[in-house]
Amino acid sequence: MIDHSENTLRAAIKALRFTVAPAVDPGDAQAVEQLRLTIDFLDFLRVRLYDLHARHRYELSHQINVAQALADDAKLVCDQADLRLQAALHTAEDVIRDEDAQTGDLRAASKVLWAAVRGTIRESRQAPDDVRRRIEASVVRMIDPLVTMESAWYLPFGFEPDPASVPGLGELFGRE
Amino acid sequence: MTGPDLTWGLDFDIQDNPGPDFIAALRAKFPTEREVDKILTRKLSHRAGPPYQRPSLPDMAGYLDAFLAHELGGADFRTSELRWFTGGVSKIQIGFTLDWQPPGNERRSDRLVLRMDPSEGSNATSRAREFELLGLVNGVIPVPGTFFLDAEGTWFPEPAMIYAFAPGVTKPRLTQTGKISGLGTDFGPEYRRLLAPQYIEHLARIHAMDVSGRSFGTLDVPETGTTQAAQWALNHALRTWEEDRGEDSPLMEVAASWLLRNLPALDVLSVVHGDYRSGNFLFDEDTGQINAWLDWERGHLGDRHRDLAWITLPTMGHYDRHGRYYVCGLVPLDEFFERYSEVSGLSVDTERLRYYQVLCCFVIIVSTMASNYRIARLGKSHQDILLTRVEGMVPVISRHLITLLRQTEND
Repeated sequence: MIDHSENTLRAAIKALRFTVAPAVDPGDAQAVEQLRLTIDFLDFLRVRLYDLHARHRYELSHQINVAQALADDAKLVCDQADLRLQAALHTAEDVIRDEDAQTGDLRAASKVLWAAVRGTIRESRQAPDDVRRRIEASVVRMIDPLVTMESAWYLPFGFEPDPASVPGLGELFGRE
Repeated sequence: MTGPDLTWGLDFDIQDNPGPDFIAALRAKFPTEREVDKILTRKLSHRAGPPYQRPSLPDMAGYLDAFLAHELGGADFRTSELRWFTGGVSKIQIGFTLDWQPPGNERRSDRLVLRMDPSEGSNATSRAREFELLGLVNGVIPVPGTFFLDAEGTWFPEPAMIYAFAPGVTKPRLTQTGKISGLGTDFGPEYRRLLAPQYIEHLARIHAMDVSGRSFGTLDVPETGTTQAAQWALNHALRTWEEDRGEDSPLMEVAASWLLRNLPALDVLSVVHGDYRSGNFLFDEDTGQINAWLDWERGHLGDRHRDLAWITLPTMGHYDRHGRYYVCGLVPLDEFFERYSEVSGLSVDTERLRYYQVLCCFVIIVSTMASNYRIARLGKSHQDILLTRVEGMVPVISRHLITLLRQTEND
């Protein structure tokens, strides 16, 4: 049997919308609001469900780009920054090259890599100005694709002031 | 003492049950106002406790009656018409009517609001401070009168205050905008005409209010001519980031580095509301008169640019169909600062404004990406599902933060 999660989410949403909602006390405004938000989120998850793995691959791939942009300057920050960033990068690159890597592997590699980037940036606060400036400028320059993906991911939540400018996930994940 | 490894550490689960060493390390690293320190320390000390469970209205009525019996010293009183209020993201609110006879006065009936913390809110803030600020600005701008305070949560499950109910709406009934806490409300041209002058006038009044020489119970007074105000505000945000987050963000690290390097000195001491936007004032829908400014939980004494930066963030206002941005949905951005300076007599300093714009982005990402995550993970509030929804603001604010940081790359 194929995975039926998306179908089951449809059923859960229908149950909440047509069976549970009419039974909720309309005078309990908080319960009414939270039921609406819950249905909204389940529908959001239904639409995003089969993009979750692609999202983690996209994230790790672009996180590697950020880390690589810092690698030369990390050597000038301190030995620990250099060693930790290199180690995390090697692991992340191995994971992203592995087409069979599972979602959990991608998440774990992301976490370690991002921690190494964090430590490098924090240590760079004591580094020479030119090194620190290059590191900060690289992060600000390279982080864009990740923020763009987050905008696309959370677009249904309705916070984007200019939704038409946000690319689709299919385009970002290379499906179109 | 062994504190957390804030530079290289990988364990974000430690924040689920932070020990005394963790708490002490953060307190030492990020000194801030005494009341803020107290509230953040309380938050962490209680974190390993059970998830929040909504008490029933009869439960709350019992707490309320016991509290009032204590406060009123055995005087005759009666509470009635208890009902939940929605709308606030971070606090629990119940409306009720109090029939009572204050000492030396005639019997009266007051419509009141009980405002209580959940186990943890998206902003861990002080009800005692909010109570004090409401008292401070009462008569300066319209705010609800304050009645009773349970500062430590002695009578209620969590700290709580009671203030007067203020009539009015937060947005025109017919608008479909501003669904989440009034953010991005489109008031339409007629209400803009009526509300905008009041909005600017009220902001000008609190910012220009002279508080020198006064003593306060929960508010520390930063020194003008020093960076103390900015340092306290930044340390508050940095500490909360470490206390709550469950992931890393290089963008936030770069922002923190810039904020640490560029602390501005305070030029004029002001009362800062902290969240001066649509959703936090009530107005009469017939006359357009603002009846009350609410939600002073982020209020403090400090730099007016903190308010000015907050309210000009892209998520706080409204874009019309021509792409023109309205501050709070009321005043076009390109007119706002000039009109504010005319009314308040206070300058708007570009460098300070930019600093607080970066800080406000940082603070919002702390709340939405870090605090909301931790609260929902541990089930600590009455609005977990709403808090997770607000996480959708993170990319919008992140993009604004990137724009600001690009403008500051040489600082």
